[in-house]
Order: sequence, then C-alpha cells, then structure tokens
Amino acid sequence: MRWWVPAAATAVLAIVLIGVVIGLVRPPGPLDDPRPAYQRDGILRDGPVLAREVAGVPFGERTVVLLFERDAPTGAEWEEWRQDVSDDGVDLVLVPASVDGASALAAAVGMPVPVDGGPPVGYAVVDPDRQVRYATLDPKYLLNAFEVDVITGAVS
Amino acid sequence: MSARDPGSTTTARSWHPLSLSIQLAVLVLAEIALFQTYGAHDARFHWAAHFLVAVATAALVLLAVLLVRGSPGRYPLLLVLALHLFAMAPDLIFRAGAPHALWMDVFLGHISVHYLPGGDTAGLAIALVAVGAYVVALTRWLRATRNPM
Repeated sequence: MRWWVPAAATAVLAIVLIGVVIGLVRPPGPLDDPRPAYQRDGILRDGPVLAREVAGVPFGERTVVLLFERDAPTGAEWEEWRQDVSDDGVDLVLVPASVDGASALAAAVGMPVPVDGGPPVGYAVVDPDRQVRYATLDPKYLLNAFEVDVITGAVS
Repeated sequence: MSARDPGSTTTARSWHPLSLSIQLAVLVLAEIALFQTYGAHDARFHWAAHFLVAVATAALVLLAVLLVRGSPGRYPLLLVLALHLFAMAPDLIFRAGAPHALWMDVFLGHISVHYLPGGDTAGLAIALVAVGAYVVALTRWLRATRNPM
C-alpha cells in the first residue's frame, strides 16, 4: 500500500461523513425538542407525583398516557395507534391544545417546549402511583407506537 | 512502534485492496440499512451518534494496536461495523421491551453520548480527530516500513 493511501482515503471519508451528518441528519424541526438528546430518550424518570385529579383527568388507578396534540388526530393510522397503545389496560387521554386544562396538564407532567414555542406534541406516561415516568415531545408519534408500549409495559 | 515488523499474513491480507474493497462494501451496505431503519423511526440523530462513536473507538483501538504491536490491526472497516452494532445494542434491547437505563453506557456510552455538548457535530469532530490521529501514525508506519502491505 502506498504511504499516502490512508490519508487520501480518510479525506474522502471525512467529506462523506460531514455530508451525511450535516445533510442527512436533520436538525430539530419546529415541533421537536430543541435538545435532541431529551426527545424519545427511552429512559424512565422519577418525575413529580400528580394529584388524584388534574384538569379533570383522574390518576392513580391505572397507567395513564397523556397524548398532547395541537389538533385532534384522525384517520386509520391514528385509530391503529390508539388501539396499540390502549390495548394493555392503559388509559389513553387525548389532550388537544385547544381544550381547557391542556396547559395545566402539560405543566404538571413537565412536557418540554418545542422549538417553535407552541403547545407540545408528544406524550407523557403516568404510572398507577400517579408518578410521571416519561414525558417527551414526539411529533411523529404515529410512527413509534411500540415505544409507548415499551414505556407503559415497564411502569404498569 | 517497530519499523521492521510487517505484521502477520492475516493482517497483510486484511489490508489488501481487494479485502478493503469487500470490507468497505459490507460496511456501506450495512450502514445504509441501519440508517434507513433508524430513519424510519425518525431517529437519524441516534444512528449518527452511535456510528460516530464507533468510528472514533475503532480509530483509537487501531491506533493502540499499531503502537503496541508495531503493525496495523486487522479488518479495520469491519471493526467499525462491529463496534457500531455493539454501540446500538441497547436499541435492540429497547425494541425487545426494556427501556433505556444508565447502565447501558457500557455499550460505548450509549446513553451519555447523546448529551455530548454540540451533539452530532461534536461527535463528528471527535471522530475525525481520532481517525486523523490513526492515519498520521499509520502513514508514518507505512513510510518507515517501506510499503510492507
């Protein structure tokens, strides 16, 4: 091997790597967490313990998934997601940003604020002891129903 | 670093242009598949973080082998792929139903790497510095041994 081959190959590698990381790994979008590490990190947390009722939503009997959305989702993909998430004895509560109490719920569970500063799109998981175990933005949550199942399966 | 030891036959074979071409093809095809898998779940950030850690670690391992043994390590590009698969193992565990936990840092910092200030851009810089360090050492070795591979 010629002595200059590794350097030349590395120069090409560097160009490709820079292109992939800068060009293909997209930066956070307007609905994403400005801190990518904190979005869908998959780590259970010992978050705050909620009151037995917050903004009309009861906690403490079963695992509750609070889905925060800006507009109520519709369609077959949503129906499939809703079925997947709630078929394990989990209470799924849809919280559109327009309903009374949405802000109070988001604050209570510690939902992050997205890049655009608007209401969160994502979900929080509250265990049967009313403790918040997970709260993440996820504007593409319909792609990732299995992630919710993993989290709820671990806390139920 | 020894300038006399050209390395074992296996080492020389793994650095043969044909072997490097095959390793590169395997690495690229596997990484494209992994990138698409992560991308389908809106997780390119995670793919990049673990891949860059694997690149940096592979470079440091190869540098250590070169310095200690006096000849290049074997199958350098397959080492990158193997380390990437190792680094992403917790994601397979997650897929099997177990949430992430801090102990998973044993997989090349699987958890902590995401919190690196500067994110993937910083990871890219670290990987390129590590690769650069290895290439400097390898180039010096190649010149000293007058093209043993």
